[in-house]
Amino acid sequence: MNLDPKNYRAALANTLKQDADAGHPEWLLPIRNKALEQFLKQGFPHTKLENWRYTNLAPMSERSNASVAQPVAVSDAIVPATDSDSLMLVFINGMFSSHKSSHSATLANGVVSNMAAQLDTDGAEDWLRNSGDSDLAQLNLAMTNDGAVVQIPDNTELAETIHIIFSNTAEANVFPRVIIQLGRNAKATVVEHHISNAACVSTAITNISCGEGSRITYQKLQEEHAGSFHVAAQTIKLAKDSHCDIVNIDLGAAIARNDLRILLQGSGAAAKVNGLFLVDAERHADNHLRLEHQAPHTRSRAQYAGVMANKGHGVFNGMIHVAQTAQKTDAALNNKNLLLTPGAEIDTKPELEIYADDVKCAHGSTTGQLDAVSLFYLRSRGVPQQIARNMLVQAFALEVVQQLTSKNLREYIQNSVEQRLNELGAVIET
Amino acid sequence: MLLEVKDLHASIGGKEILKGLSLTIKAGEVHAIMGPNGSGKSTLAQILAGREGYEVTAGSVRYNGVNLLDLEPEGRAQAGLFLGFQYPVEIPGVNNVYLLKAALNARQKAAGKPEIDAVSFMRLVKEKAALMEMDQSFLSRSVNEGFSGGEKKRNEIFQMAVLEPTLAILDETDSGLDIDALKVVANGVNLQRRDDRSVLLITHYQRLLDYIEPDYVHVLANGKIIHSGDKSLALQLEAEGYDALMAKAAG
Repeated sequence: MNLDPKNYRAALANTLKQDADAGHPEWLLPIRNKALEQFLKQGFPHTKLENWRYTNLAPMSERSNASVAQPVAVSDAIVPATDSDSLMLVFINGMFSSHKSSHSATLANGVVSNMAAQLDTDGAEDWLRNSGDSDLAQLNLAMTNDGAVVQIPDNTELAETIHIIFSNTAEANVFPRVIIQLGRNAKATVVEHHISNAACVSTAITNISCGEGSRITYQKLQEEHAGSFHVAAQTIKLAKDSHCDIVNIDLGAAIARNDLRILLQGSGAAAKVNGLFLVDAERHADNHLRLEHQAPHTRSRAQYAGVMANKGHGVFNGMIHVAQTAQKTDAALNNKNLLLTPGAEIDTKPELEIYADDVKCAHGSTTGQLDAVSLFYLRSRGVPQQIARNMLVQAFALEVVQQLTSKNLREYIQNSVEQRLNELGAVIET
Repeated sequence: MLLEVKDLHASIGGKEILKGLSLTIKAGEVHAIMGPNGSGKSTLAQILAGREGYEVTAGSVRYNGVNLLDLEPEGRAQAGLFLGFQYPVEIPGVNNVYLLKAALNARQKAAGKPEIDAVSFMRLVKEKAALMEMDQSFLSRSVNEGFSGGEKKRNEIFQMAVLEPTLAILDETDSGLDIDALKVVANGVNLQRRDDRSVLLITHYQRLLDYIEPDYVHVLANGKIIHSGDKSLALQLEAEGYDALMAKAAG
């Protein structure tokens, strides 16, 4: 993959000019320069890397190379419906849209804000620099314009859901960043929603740290335009007795890759993860999950459901890693898949790596087709075959969709799934 | 003539199960087919409803003047055929009411009629649930998920009540039911008897026929109907067993 450094340096120059115009702090400049040089040295990950065996980013690299320094024309953005009482942070083509966003939270000592407005605060350099070690983290660090910062103080529960929407309208290159920090015993629900109505290139990084005894509900929804590339990575650090409840739904983009890494760093930490990927047409979706049990008495439950159709290609790689010190770990990881048509494909690999000797770990994967008896039952009631198939696929997806806490969002995603299945139905011959 | 099965031969996986079965059902009649295990009772029900995997090698099935075997399972249902399953399927994530609405609307559409409106639909569903002494909470649950054996069978008859078929084939609807559940289910069927609705009961035991009185009883053995009579035949079978009749037929 040939990167043209000239284009990326031009793009960086644009970003740096925006920094200067916005009066952002000076520490940004060396950090961005260094990050870009590091990215240019590495380039986009390639399929010879074990981690990227099934996902070829060459088309994304090519598009990015051509368009990264190009200005973006702004047109009308999709802003999905949210709960009326949620706190909305809306970003159009990577830039914060204050008029589409709802009021900021009036949170004593806490922050719910766009990132650009927080760069001159104490600690900003740390949370921005700490980008995680995913393969495109340095590119994101060099280029990110804006994103969301959520800081919930100790012993505080935020009643409203924070709904962060990254909506892209044009063939933009965007670098969303989300930072979530929960204090001791804090509690928050955050939805990170990526959506676009034109082919975009998105490289998203999310970092979540959870203080002792805190609770985070984090739901990432990806509905990028069918010509888009979406590569995202989330790192979630869980301190003692903190819990995360995660939903990861992946419905869009030509090539989507999601790396979710959860570090259970304190005893009593627990993670629950429910993932859904629906891959139709010639789409490609690759979900990587790493559950790193680093402390004793930690618990994780992860379940990913994949639906593949047409020439869709799904990839699931899930790893439970138990460190030697993490005795009494209780972990279970499962991936189940539906292949709806003969051309569809799934590569699934659940893995265990265990260095402690007193643990309970389970992992598994199943791949199959729609249950013939259920299908016959529905048809015997008069339901046409295509509708019956859709009902069963939706029921399969529902296990994950119903984990969404907001009723509006559940209905919204159910409709999105249904719409995709209807489009699919036109393609599948009965 | 509502249903006319003539010399039906059918096999599954190369093994012949039905070996020349003939059966005629007129509008409003209730027929019972009895027979020992493995005689082909359930195969007949599955073939009539359109289950894939069976090969019809000879014979014909006409329903309301059309070749039933030409229709897809949903087409048969839309034409008024209903199969009450011996083992109703649990379908997690598919809501009972949602299924019925999709089924009813598909039938309306096939008949060139408009979709049923939400208010009339719910009224219909609630009325029929009450008929089957079913708790309203069952309506919003997933199809048969976590239902007891009796609840599943009751749900089948409830679905029949909502879909109002012209021909209902009830496959071992009595199996797995205690006497109280059997009475409710049988009562549900009896309440649905009409001059323009026929019922084909498939059962192993005479017990069901104490509660749903058939007009005709047929004995199926070895893939053929070997004897037909009125409801007294069921009592004779109960007293003498299948063996005596089968020996007579063989002799």
